[in-house]
Amino acid sequence: MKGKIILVSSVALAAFFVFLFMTLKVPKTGSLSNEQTAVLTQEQVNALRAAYPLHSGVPSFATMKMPSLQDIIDRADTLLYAKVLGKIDPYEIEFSAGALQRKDSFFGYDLEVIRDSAGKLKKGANVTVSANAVIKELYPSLRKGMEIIIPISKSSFKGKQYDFSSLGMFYVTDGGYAISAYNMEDAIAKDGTHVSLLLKTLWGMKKK
Amino acid sequence: MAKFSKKVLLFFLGLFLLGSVTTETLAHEMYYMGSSPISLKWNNIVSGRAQLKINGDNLSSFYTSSPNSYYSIARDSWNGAAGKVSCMQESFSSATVRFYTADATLWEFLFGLIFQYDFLGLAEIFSPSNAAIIDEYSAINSQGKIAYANILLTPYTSSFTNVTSVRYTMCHEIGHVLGLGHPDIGNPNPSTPQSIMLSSFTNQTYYSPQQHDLDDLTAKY
Repeated sequence: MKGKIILVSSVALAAFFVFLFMTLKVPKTGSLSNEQTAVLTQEQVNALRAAYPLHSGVPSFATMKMPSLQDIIDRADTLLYAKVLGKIDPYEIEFSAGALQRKDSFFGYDLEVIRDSAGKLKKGANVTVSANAVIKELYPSLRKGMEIIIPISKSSFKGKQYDFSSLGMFYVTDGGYAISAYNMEDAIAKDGTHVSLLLKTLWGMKKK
Repeated sequence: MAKFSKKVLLFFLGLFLLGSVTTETLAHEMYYMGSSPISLKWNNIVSGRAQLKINGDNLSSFYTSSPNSYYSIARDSWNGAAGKVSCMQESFSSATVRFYTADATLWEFLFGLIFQYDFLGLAEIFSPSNAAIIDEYSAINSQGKIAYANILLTPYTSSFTNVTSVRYTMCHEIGHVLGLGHPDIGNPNPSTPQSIMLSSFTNQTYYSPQQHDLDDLTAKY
């Protein structure tokens, strides 16, 4: 009887240690450390705004219905965590639309992929994002070396270039925290969240 | 006594002159250099009225069907505004304000796949030398004159929240053609709450120029 009790106790103890090892030492894929789930205080976010200003521009001549963050995420092919390599030279595309002949200017940036939420673009790959200059005021000016989170979508017009959105864009600050680049009413994605958690939260919103 | 009256007269004259300076009305412009407004006006003015020749023949039936079409309402809402505007209907080929319903391809070309459902209308203005006026520099180079314009409207008519938002958008874009800017964004002049030129439609119940817009027209023209 005593031997049975010792055996059961030993098995239970071993199972407990195995459980402890599994949960603490070998985290499941996609789990986040305590550091990654920590958030910046509003005061810290405010202090960062000098270097990472919140943009709220809208095009001077266009009437726009502001989309929700959910709309942006659903329309994007992916969310990139990327480094800004620099501005591209502006270029023009001619377009014929019935009675209207146009030649529009485009602006954009070269980016280096750090992480692709959809998993299609490899780390280190170069991607060019661009947009028609008629909506340039909608976009904050990005600096070379900045790290950003950016919704992108493959364009029908621009070869290998992608469309990109300023809404749902985030700056990634030192220490890996993300703060919003555009002033949206949505409060789904909190300022000052760690980039890993933010990417997981945003990509989790996408309707599959 | 006469000396005292002269001083009183001078005092009131001074007050009047000061008042006339400080209450000077400035229109809300589209572009500013710093805080200095860059005035843009319609080039063709007859008897103090901006002459807009506006077409409806390149608009889809959504915008033009029925006698009280969105197009007619927008055009007529500016006709005679503040005694400064005349709006006449013309065909596309001879219009100076060219309304056009874009197709899906053009809309994607302009706004991209992510934003194509969010943009309802776009006004494009051009100087007498055919240069697009797109920023403060091209506004200065235009010598302050707008010679003609395109107003492109979305093919995604379900993007409009309601009937008022269609009317608001069309009337708003004609306001840009007249040189009026958004009073609520990046503008150093105070705005009144109601204006057809507010930067976005947020369930306003009106869809014609408001007193604020008429005051801007009076200041500008």
